[in-house]
Amino acid sequence: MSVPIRRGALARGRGRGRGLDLALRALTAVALLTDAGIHIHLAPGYQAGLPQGIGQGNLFLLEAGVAALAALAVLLRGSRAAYAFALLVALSAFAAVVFYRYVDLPAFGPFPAMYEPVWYFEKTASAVAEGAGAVLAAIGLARARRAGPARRVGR
Amino acid sequence: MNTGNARVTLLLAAVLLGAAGCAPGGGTAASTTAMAPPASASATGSMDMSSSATSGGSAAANSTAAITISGFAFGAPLVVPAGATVTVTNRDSAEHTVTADTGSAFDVEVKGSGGTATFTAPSTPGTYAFHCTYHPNMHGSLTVK
Ligand SMILES: [Cu+2]
Repeated sequence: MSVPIRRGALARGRGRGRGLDLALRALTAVALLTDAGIHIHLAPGYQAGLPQGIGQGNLFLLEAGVAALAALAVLLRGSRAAYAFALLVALSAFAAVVFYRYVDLPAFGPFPAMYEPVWYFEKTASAVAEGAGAVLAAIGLARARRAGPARRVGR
Repeated sequence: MNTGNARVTLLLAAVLLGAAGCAPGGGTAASTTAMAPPASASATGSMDMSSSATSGGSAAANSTAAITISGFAFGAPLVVPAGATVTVTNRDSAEHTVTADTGSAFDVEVKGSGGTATFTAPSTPGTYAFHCTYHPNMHGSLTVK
């Protein structure tokens, strides 16, 4: 995955923080894609287990799609908007998994009752990826904001 | 967006790799083995054939036993007589299954919010590990004596 990233770097091509920027973008994308992959992997079982409303598996697929989109935006653009979108996605996913771990919220609207009072490897891994993705995206957002709108020129 | 397609392909490949890394139901099965005292490696595909052969000792066939699923867990390992009727009650909102890890000794779906299902315990003594096909963390153990 290093080739497309280096091309973007050459196009931008300045500043000692450039390497850090690229690493941040790559790591944020990896976190989001890890999260997306786990959700896709778990979706069929969870859809069968809780098909009420829109269904938990479909929600997982929706989350995976949005997370992959955010990863793509961060990787391709690395703009403030991309990082803000990534932060929103990662943080809301993290909040949801932690919330439903501890709170037995009944079904509401299209959302089924997704209370699940356990942690296990895949679930923990996705929560860690979401938390890390949120932190990385927040850092990226702060750095992009400091650098100002000039960063977005040419992209 | 000339390099975009290649990047999208790479990304999709990464997501799919992440998703394909593990098959449903193939999660870590380490947690239940510690709780099962007898050797738990005896269950094989031969259980289906032997179940009809050993039906003579079915004095206990009418006994009942129960599994209660709560909080995405099957509870303590269950010990039942051969051929016992096992009633499964599901207190979670989500539907679960009780599925033998190997062979087709038993496999039932249990609806959520108090749903119940029953299955007949195997007639061949041994320890049968089982799982829920929907949720990779759910593992249990049924011992037939
Ligand atoms: Cu289950």
